[in-house]
Parts: sequence; structure tokens; C-alpha cells
Amino acid sequence: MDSYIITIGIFIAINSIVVSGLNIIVGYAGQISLGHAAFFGIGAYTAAILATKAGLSFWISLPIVIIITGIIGLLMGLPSLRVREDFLAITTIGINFIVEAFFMYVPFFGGALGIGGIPRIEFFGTPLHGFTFLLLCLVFLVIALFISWWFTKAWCGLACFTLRDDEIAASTIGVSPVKFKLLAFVMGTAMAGIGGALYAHYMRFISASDFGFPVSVMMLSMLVVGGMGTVWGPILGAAILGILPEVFRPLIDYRMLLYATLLLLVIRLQPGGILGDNGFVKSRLKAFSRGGKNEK
Amino acid sequence: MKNNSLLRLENVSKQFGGLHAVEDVSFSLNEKEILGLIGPNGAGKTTCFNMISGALKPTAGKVFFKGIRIDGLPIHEIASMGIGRTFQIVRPFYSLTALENIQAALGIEKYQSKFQFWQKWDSQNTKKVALEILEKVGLADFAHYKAGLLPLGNLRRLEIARALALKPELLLLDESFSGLRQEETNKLSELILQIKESGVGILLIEHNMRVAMGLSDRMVVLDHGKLIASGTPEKVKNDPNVIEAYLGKGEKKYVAS
Repeated sequence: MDSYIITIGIFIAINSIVVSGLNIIVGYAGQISLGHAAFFGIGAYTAAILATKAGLSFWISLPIVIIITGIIGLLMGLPSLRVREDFLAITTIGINFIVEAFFMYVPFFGGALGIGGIPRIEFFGTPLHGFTFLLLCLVFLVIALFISWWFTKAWCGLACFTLRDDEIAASTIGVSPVKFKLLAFVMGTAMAGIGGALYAHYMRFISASDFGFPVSVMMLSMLVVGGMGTVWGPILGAAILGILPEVFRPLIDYRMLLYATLLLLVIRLQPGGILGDNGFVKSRLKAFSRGGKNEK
Repeated sequence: MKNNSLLRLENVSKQFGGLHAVEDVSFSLNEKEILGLIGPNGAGKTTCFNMISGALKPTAGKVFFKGIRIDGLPIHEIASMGIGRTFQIVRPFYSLTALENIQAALGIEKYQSKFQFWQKWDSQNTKKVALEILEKVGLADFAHYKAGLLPLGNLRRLEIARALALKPELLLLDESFSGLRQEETNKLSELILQIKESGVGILLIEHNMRVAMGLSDRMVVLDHGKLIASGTPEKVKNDPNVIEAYLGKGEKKYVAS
């Protein structure tokens, strides 16, 4: 397969994993986050440092990456217990800038030069690159999707849905806002961490600007376009926003304009996202499953 | 007497800055009893209510439920002890269907557990139990409608059903009758009496006097944050303090005759 297409596929797969994590926080638990790239970055930097400085292989460092991003996600979830909606959005933007600055200015993290020389992932001695790396990403994507799907079927997911709809009413049926919001944050950020580790080992060079605020906005855009709170929305969103810039490569300078237009169109025409509740995919499916019968 | 009471407030007060919303209020609610909590606007009814359900912490005094002190506990813990509540302005889970609203409440024990909340919620069993509860309140036909699409009367029933799904021993109803048509009111009264028969204590905040008088076994009346009367509806109705609170002093000589 063409390595150009494989590369795009890898980015779409990694973004799908990270956006699935964002979906748990924003789509399921209703806690707006505009700083998700920070956790993507924390995952990537943790993996990079463990690989270059401690010489650990990807497979050993992966659980450490998950734990570290999860714990930091837990800490960063704490503001969500006090501030909500727009204020939470602004707080998470702040978190993103702080984390980015940390990577940029602390010499341990390579400063402005970033971290280079990250080894490839080895699978029983064979280094993965190109198509085999895509396969690895897809395996992780399947796991992420499964977790994301299971979450909608488990009590903790239902608890998050009730929190998203009405926090006070949720408390009166025994849902602890603290417990389940933090659970959503930990799971969501841990998924971002996995994506970050894959990204670091694929790019083999990372720097702070890869995880800045615009990346967070792009991730949220992917989620909104695909459909918040749906299992498949993150993949569709990541695919659309991953492919479009390639198709419109001549217009690269206007990429942000393109995102903004697309986002506005989705918000205007498909407020729940393309796979969302009132999106055209669901209404088509419904019409199809009714077999042309008239609605009651 | 004290041991029998399901809910007991002891000298409860709540201040918001310089405002005494509730001042030194004590009353108790026995098992299988409907206690009406009435009073003019701003009397402190909802504040009282919120202190029982955990939304507010009293500045002074104690609240006991089955002999256990509950004031100051978080809302979800109070709920899991067996107190269900509804809201004056309805708060269903709008994005979930009526059935899912009830199923969500059935998870109360799982939410408190350490790991059980990873289990599947959408099982045949929870569906069946939730449908039974919906049937009890007369909403079975709307089970698969999004709660956001239901009219107000049905939403009030849905909230009661959601509270019942917690298997509460005490049900707090905050103005469940406001904004309902006459026939809706009648149906809801019947439902509340049924719930009482099944062995649940009910604290009823109500503006509609006819309904409150008809349903309550006993009543307590608040005015300007203070308890001004308590007793049977008959007694409360003729209490000069209550008449004064609602109608003012000038009317006294006519009413007294």
C-alpha cells in the first residue's frame, strides 16, 4: 500500500483513539474540555522519555504511560467539580497552555528542541513501521472502541449520562458527581495517553507545539462533526477532518477557515453531529428499518 | 414517639447572610404518614426541603432520618439511605427515554459500590422492573419517548416514578401539583395515596390548599421561616395564626365568627 495513504491512516487511527477519550469526557459526562491535547502530549512525552532516557520498550512503558496520564487526568479533572460550562472550557484551555509551556521550557523535556531519536516499536523483535504500525494502531483503536462502547452499556456510563443531563437530579438518584466525573476524566485522559504514546513512537520526534491549543480545538471539532456521545462519531470525525486537509492540500493556508466552516455547518445543520441523535445517518437508518412504513 | 419518627428536624435554622430563611424549626414525620408542609410564598418551605435532601446544610440544628443524623451529608448519600425527591421545576434526564430515566435510578446501589458499576445496566431485568414502575404511575405507553418530549403532567409523574425506583422509605414531593389540570391533579392525588398505602412516608410541599388539606394526615405551617402551627388539617385550617399568615389581620373578626 502507498505509504502516503498509510501515514494518513495512522494519523486517523491515533486521532480516533484520542478523540474517543475526549468523547467520554465531553460526550458522555458532559464536561467540556478544550485542553485534551495536553493529555495527548503528556502521553507522548512520557513514552518518549521512558524510551530515550530509561530505555524501556513500548510494551513496558505503555502501562506506565496509561497510569501517569490517568493520574494527571484525575488532577486536571478536579476543576470540573467546581466550574462548569464556559468556565470549565476556559480552565481547560489554561491547562493546555500550562502543559505546553512546561514541555517547552523545562530542559528535562528537551525544551524547544523537543525529544528526538525515539525508537520504533518492536513486536517480537521486528520493528513496526508503515503497514504493520497501522495494524498496531488499529488494534488499539478496536480496544478503545470496545471500552467506549462498554462504557455506554455499564452503570458508570449511565451515571455519566445523568450527570450530563442534570447534575442535581443525578445526585438525587445516588450518583456521586465527584466519583463519576473523575472516572470519566481518568478514562478519557488515559485513552489520550495511549494515543500519545503511539504518536511519539511513530513520529520518533516530538516537540511541545505538537500538543498546543489548536490541536485541542481540532480534536473537539472532530468530535462535534462525528457526533458527541456516540461510539462511532470520533472515528468518523477523525476520518473527515483527517482526509479533508489532504484533499484540499492546495488550500493549506486556509485550513483553519475550512475547519471553522465545517464546524459551523455541522452546528447549523446537524447539531448532534453526523452520527448524533437527529443526524441524517440515524434518520436514514430509522427510515430504512421501518421499511417504508408510515410513522405512527 | 421519638423512635417511631422516620424524619425528625430539631431546631433547624438556615441563614443566607442576614436573612433567616428558616428559624428554629422542629417537626417530625412518622412512618406511613403524609405530612403537608405549607406556608405563603417565601415562608422557607423549599429551604427546609433542601436541608432534608442535602442540597443545603443547616446553619444550626439537626436532621435525623430513622435516627441517623443526615444534615450536611452529600445529596447522593442521603438518596442512597432511602430518601427520594422530586423538584418544583421538573428535572428529568432529557436526553434519556422515560424508561431509561427509571433504569438510571435503579442503579442506586451500583453507583455506591467500588466496582459493580462496570456491570451492564441495560438488562432484561432492569427493563422489566422499570416498566412495572412506569405502569404504576401510568406512563407505560410513553416508555420509549425521550423525556424531553413529554408534557409537564407526565414529567411530574416521571419524577415520582424515578424517586420510587430508589425504593425510598421517605418521599419528598416539592409542589408536584403546580401547573396541573384538574383531572391530572385527581390522578396524581390517587397515586400519592397509593404510594402512602405501600408504606412510604411522604413530605408534601403544596400551594394548592384543597389538595394539601385533602391528602395530608398532619400539617405544619411555616411563615417567615418560623413554624406557626401544626396538627391535623382541620386544626390548622382554623388556626388564627395560619389565617393571619395567609389573609392578614383585618379579616380576623369575620373568620372567627
